[in-house]
Amino acid sequence: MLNVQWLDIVSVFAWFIAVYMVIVIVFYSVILMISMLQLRKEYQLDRIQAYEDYMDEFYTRPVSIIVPAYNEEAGIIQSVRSLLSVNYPTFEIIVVNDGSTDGTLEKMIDQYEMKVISKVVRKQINTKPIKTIYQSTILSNLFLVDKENGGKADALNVGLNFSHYPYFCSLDGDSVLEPDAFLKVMKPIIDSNEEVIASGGSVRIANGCEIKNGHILKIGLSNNPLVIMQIIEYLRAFLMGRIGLSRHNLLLIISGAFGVFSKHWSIEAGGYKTDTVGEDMELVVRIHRLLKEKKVNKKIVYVPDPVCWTEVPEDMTILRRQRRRWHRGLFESLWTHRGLTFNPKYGSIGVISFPYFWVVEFLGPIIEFLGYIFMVLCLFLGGVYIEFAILLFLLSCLYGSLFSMAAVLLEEWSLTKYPKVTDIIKLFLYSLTETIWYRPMTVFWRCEGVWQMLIGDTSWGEMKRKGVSK
Amino acid sequence: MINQDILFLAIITLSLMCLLFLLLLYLTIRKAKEIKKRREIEDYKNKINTQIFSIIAEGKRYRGIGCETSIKQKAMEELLSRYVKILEGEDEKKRLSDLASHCLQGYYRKRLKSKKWSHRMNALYHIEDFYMIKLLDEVVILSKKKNITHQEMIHVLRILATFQYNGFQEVLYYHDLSEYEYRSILMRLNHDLFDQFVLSFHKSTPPLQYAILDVISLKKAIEYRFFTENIFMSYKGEVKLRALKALAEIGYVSNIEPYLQLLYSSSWQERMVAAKLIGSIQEEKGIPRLIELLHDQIWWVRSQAGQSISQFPNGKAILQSVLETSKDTFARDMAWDWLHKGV
Amino acid sequence: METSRHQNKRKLFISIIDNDVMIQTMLVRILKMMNIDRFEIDIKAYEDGMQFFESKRLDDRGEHFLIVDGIMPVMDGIEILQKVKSDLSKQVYVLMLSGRKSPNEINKALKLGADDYVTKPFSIKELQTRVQQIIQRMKQ
Repeated sequence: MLNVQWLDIVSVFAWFIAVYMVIVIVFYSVILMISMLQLRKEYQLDRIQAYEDYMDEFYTRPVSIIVPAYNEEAGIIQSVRSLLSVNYPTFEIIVVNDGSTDGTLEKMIDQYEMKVISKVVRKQINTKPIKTIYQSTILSNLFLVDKENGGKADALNVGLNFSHYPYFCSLDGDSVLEPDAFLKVMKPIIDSNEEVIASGGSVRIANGCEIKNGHILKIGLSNNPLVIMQIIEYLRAFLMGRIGLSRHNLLLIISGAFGVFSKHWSIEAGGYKTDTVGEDMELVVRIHRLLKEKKVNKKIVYVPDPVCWTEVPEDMTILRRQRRRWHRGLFESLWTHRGLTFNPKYGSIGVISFPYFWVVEFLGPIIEFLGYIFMVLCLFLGGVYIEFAILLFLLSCLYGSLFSMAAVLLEEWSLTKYPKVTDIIKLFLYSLTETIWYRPMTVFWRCEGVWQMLIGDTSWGEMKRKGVSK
Repeated sequence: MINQDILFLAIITLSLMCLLFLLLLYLTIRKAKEIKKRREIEDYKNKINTQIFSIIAEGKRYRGIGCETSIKQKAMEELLSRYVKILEGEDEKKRLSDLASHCLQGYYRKRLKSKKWSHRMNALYHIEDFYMIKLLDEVVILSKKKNITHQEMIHVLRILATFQYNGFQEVLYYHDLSEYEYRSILMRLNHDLFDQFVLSFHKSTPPLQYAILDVISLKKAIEYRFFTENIFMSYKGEVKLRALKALAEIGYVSNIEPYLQLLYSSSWQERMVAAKLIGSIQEEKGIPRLIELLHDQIWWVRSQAGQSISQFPNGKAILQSVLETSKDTFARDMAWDWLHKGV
Repeated sequence: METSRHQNKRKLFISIIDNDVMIQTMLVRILKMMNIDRFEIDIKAYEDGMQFFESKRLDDRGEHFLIVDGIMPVMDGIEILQKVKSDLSKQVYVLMLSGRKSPNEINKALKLGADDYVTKPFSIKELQTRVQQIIQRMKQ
């Protein structure tokens, strides 16, 4: 008697997980289709040609580049240097020194011969006080704002208050931009005559690439398995997820590494929130919300061409911290704006995006985690339970490895950024193994993030920066 | 029951995996071929570069550079593309165009008829860049095609404009374009062809009208000053504003009085552009009001006032006195900005 | 007789600083096409400002003429211009050859002491004329 009941419970549980996975697989497949169609069109276009015509337009859409810096004396000069040679007619660079305790401030002042300037900064967003503002005497479009420590979001808000131009982008100190990055990312904004108010560029992984003086000399694949798996993850997230979502204005994340936003709308939405871990996503959600509330027909899009190369953790401990942090940030953004979920007032963001992020992105890892535990238990219990284990295993292969393999092929089919044949084969074979080791690991870490939140742990840990450029 | 499901699922998974492996095979072969081709193209480019430069820069006679194979053609195309971005002298352009026509004419003719959108677009880009006027007829044919994509059409129109095609005006009127698109096309017209559009200004749709005025602005076309003043007087709203902008760029008006009043307009755009005009023609009567506009509510107006003031011979002195005496922090800020522009 | 005529000519060191190798070779050839009798010419190309300064080329005795690209990674053209002009002990002639066309940029370079500014794309004849004009200004 007990056995039968027990079997029923297990059965229900297994089916629950299986059904969830099937729904997600269907959803991913749809997005994959949309992405394939999108990428196919632009395939093989001599893209360089397409930007010459816009030069005049670009002149009238200047961009402020805000670089929040906290204890970045190792790489700040390089980062600024690489930004200076960006291929865009009008821009300014605002380095915001967030109360660094090392030599970041002094190095900048010294290298670029900066002088104090007295400027009135309108506090359109509330921030921690600004101490001093500097301008370079050599390069008049380079500014340095020294402020009290307040965190990255606060530094961004200060930059936002100070900026002179209608568009801005936030850049991590350690990211390397492609020279045409701004042209590519501003193009949708200009094409749509400012109907598009924020545009995100694809982020690629810099580890393994040859970088000199803040420029990518040669694209290469790292040998570190963790890095390779992360590359696959990024390919999957960007090529499949974002293109598909962007097509229908469902995009909720513009990755923190690179994105251009309209200053006006960002300020209207209230700037970056300082008490959350995922401040970039949170701002995007808030902007979407504002747009819907004001019944304004503006869009947020994404450009599939890689424009920004950034360093990812090569070490498991740091990767773990990052994943925990991300998942918490995701939750915080979703929870703060939970009112949008299934709310028809917010259009497709409320009805499709939010549920997607809740069900797939947020709950997904938890359910997967339960699935993994379940699988292992079933194997131990033996007998008929093994069938459940196999069922779930096959589903998670589809869910994980197969889509990752597809993403790798999608990248090779359309963008062909990796130069060697062995690169693609390597990526493909590694993605085959995803279900067996990498996915369970990251899933576990993300659940850890949720757990930390539940028990009220708010420490983030330090992210040690290696320094990408030579 | 569950056995069947597992079997079903296993078959799906395995067949999908096989499919992906096959795709991988296909893509790796394709990639290997691409890499080989790319190397050949680069080698050929290195081989002919010095010769090509001699032909373009020194006018050496074209001799024996074959472009029969697609590799050689691609190499030539890429090499010429780079030169087009660097050199713009009359002689250089002509020689480059001749070289392109010699080698790539047939290639592009075929490409224009290709089924792939990207092939056609690339061909159009290069036809324009290399000024391949011998392909004019093909481009005209394309302009009459019904099921052509919008982006292609824009490009075709731009090429027709660049080649100063006689029947251009009729062609343009067939289409409804955005103001930016009209502008980039009209910019390329020579005086006579552009004149036709000026003459039929009143019949044009607003986007086209804005574009015509913007082109006059960008070219600072002083020959159209009376026309522009006319438009300013007879239209309202955005057209009036654009005409005012064009006048500011041209830097001439027949009588300044009506424009001085605009400095007091309730529309900030008009105040801004009027300020620009005053600075452009250096009308001293406008200076007192410009100083007031440094205290305007709108940043753009203040900024333009600052710019205009700095264009006067005693501009710096005026800005300095504002910096020292004004009670408005934003005005002082703006004065400081314009005193220090360009460090 | 030949040697003494040679010895009378001063040396003119022309340095090209551009991160694009193609433009480097082009400029070298364009300069070689020119007829510069007054001086004995020594042309060299550098990939970036740092390499140029490290080579200590400016220490060589003779007239110095730089053709500098505007937008460059390691050291921006403007930075090179400023560094070269800030050393008042030497008279170094600088021609900026830049893709940056905005009046602001051009004014900035001229204010910092650039002897001329040519935008890309450029005409070969025009460039050669401007180079000649600068060379004419040099004392023999």
